[in-house]
This record gives sequence, structure tokens and C-alpha cells, in this order.
Amino acid sequence: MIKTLAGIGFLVLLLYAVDGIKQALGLPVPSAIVAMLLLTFFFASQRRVPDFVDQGAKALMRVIPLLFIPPLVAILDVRAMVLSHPVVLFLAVTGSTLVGLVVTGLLYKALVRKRGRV
Amino acid sequence: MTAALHALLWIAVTIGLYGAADWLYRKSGHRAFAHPVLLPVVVLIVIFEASNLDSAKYLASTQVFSTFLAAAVVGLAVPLYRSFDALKENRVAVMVAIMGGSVSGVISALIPAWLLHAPEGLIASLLTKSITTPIAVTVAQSVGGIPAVAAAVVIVTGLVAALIGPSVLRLVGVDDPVATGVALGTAGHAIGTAEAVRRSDVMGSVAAFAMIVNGLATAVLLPLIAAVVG
Repeated sequence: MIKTLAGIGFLVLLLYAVDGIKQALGLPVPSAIVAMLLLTFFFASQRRVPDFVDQGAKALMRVIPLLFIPPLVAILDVRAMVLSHPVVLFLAVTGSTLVGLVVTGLLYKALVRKRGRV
Repeated sequence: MTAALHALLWIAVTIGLYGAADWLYRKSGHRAFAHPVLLPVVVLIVIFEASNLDSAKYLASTQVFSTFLAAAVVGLAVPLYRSFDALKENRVAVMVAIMGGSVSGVISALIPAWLLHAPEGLIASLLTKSITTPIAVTVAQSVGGIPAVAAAVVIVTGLVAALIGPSVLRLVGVDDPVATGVALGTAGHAIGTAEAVRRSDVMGSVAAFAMIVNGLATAVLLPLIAAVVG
């Protein structure tokens, strides 16, 4: 429990640190992604993931659906756009997402099979 | 009511609704329609539509959630680092599959939008649909999209991928964990990746890798393409 909280705290602090540097330098990059890449390089240099970071990350991942509730409610703010083009939006988020999923999965499967391994 | 108390109340309501929905989800045997993100959102939207409560105040009160969401994205470094092992042998196949899925996902969203004469701002907001919200919002702005619409499209896209993705993939004969992970990460960004993490370590690692590659490639290429085309 303490390890998990320490891990979450560490991830939040790292995010704030990168965000601070980003603001100071005025860089147009997403802080969370830059922080994630830095952390990945750190793991690679250590050749291991510290246990508390692992537990914190897992805990956050488990509650991702909870964390997405407010941004989904925020769709109310763009209600006018959603309601004026419901078909385009519906096709984009359902049909085309499934196209992307299926193409990725099948392409990977086909390429791997060609090389004689599954 | 003071602002702090107000914020705490909305946070408690959100967590309470999520807890109840999560219980139902497990009770129903993980049926997609009972996914713990859907029910709370529907309840909250109905509340704001039916009452004169201000949804802007709700969003301000739950700002802390977006900090934890961004921290969760930082935490994807763990599966990403572990993906290096899972991907050792098939890195080329994975890269080609990500590119194919990414391009086909964007094109299949654009064709109906063009055919149905959607306004340009909306079309630009669809381009970033399969990349994770923090990247999508930044990129959507730079190609003339509407950040709020782009964010909404991204989130619903991820949700669709996470909810019905694994069953659709099984239907077309994709059941290998690496293939499923690549597909979920490419088409469903962080939400798809979270679903993959829940299913298996290998699937989660590969999905994190796919999400990052797709996100970074789109972030670099889309503004270039937009500059050339526009």
C-alpha cells in the first residue's frame, strides 16, 4: 500500500517536473509523453523497474476507466458539434476504429506467418 | 457551499458511481454495456441535462482526475520498457502493422467525413482519433482541429476499441496476445492499452509500444502532411 502510494507520488512529481521544464522553455510537447519516454530510458539504463514505480503504475492503470469519467462528461461542452454531425462522428469512432484494429491485427499476423513463426 | 467542499463532493460522487458500476460490471460477467466508465458518464450527463447544475463546475472540481490520468500515461513507461523483450523477434512486423493500422484508421474516418461534407474543423479533429489525448489535443490544434472535439473523439474511440476490440479481433481470427496488443495500442491508445494491460503482461507491453509509436509518428507526420496539403 505504501509502495503503491509512493509510486503514484513519484509519477505525479515526475510529471510536474517535466511540465515545469516544458513551461519554462516554452516547448510545444505533451509533458506526459516526454516524462514517459524519460522514465523508459531510465529503466533501460538500470535494466530494471523499481518495485514501487511498478506498483504505482499498475494501480493507476487499474483505475483508468474512473479517470476518464470527467473528460467524457466534458463532451457536453461540444454537444452542438456532436449533434450537428452525428453520423460522421459515429462512423469515425466505431467503423473506422474497428477498421484500424482489424488491419493492424491481420497485418501483424500475416507478416509473422510469412517469416515462418507465430 | 465552499469551493473545496463542492469539489470533494463531486469527486466522491464520481468515485461512488464508478464503484457501483464496477461492482455491476463484475456481477454481469464483464459485459461491455456494463463497463464501469459508461454508467457513471450516462448518469452524470443525465443529471446535468435534467437539472440546472453546472457541468463546468463539475469539470473544474474533478481537475485532479486529469493529473492522475497524465500520471497513468507516464506510468505506461513500465509496460513500454518491458515490451522491448516481448518484441525482440518481430519488431519489423510490429512496426509495419502499426503504420498500416494507423493509416487505415485515419483514412476510413476521413472518407465518410468527406462524403458527408463535414466542416473542415471537424475533419481535422478526426485525424488525431487514435492517438492518446495529450498528444491528440496538441496535434489537433496545429492542424486546425477543435481540441475539445478531438479529445472527445479520442476518448470514445479508445472506449470502442477497449470494449469491443478484443471480440472483433477474435471474430477475424486474431487471438494471439501480441497481435491483439498491437491492435489495441494502435487503434485504442491509452484506453486500449489499459484494457490490454488488464488482460496480460505481454499484451499490455506490446500495446504500450504500439500506442507510443503511433502517437509519436502521427504527431510528427500529421502537421507535415497538413502543411503540404493545406
